[in-house]
Amino acid sequence: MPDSVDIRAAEGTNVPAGAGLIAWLCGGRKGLEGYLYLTHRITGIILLLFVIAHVLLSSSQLLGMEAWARLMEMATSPVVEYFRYPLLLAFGFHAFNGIRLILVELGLAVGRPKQQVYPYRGSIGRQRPLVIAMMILTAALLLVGEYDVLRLAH
Amino acid sequence: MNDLRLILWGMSLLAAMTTLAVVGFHMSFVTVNYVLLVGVCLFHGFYGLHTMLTEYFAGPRAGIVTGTGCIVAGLVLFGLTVATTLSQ
Repeated sequence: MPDSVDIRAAEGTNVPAGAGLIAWLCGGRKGLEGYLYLTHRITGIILLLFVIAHVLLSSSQLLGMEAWARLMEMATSPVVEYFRYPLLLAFGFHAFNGIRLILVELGLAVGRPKQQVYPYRGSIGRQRPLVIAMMILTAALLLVGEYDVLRLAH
Repeated sequence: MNDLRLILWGMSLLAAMTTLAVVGFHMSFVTVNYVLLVGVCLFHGFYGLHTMLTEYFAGPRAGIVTGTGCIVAGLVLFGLTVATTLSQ
């Protein structure tokens, strides 16, 4: 019996402890859940940057209406407006994946606990319908939202 | 270390609640909800960023730096939102 046991290796994630950026990116998860984990983080950073930009843009009114109007002109330029589409995608994905994570954390849609018999199976298969439902909801939100964005843009 | 963190969280929460009360006294329901929404977004965003940073930069010193940085940045942005709202 070794003195120290690599917990991640014991969990079968193939990500060694202290793997730095790789571990940070996938969190030891594999397959679809690993991609969802990474995308959730990336979309979260994008949305935080948007909130910061929104607050800074709004608060430019404190410097005078000229400064605000100048910044608003930049913010409503066609190049910046184009970023509404990926932003809505990021928002939809982050929101619905967040709801999925809450449901999983609450123990819903993960299956009932039972005694493990070799070969051991996780509850990923039980969670997959929730992932698919989340993707369908994201797609539906995108369809409605993009229509609205396109309608407002023209 | 934990005490400092607790004090910082407590102060930020107190500051947020006080400013919300001040804004709520002066502004309409929609405006208060806007400020509340921005505050929730900032808290959620910076808390997530703090989690990600502390995962990558391990150690107690890194924890203090990232924690303080996120709280200060969040409070500054929240303060800007409140100031902008009150100036309307």
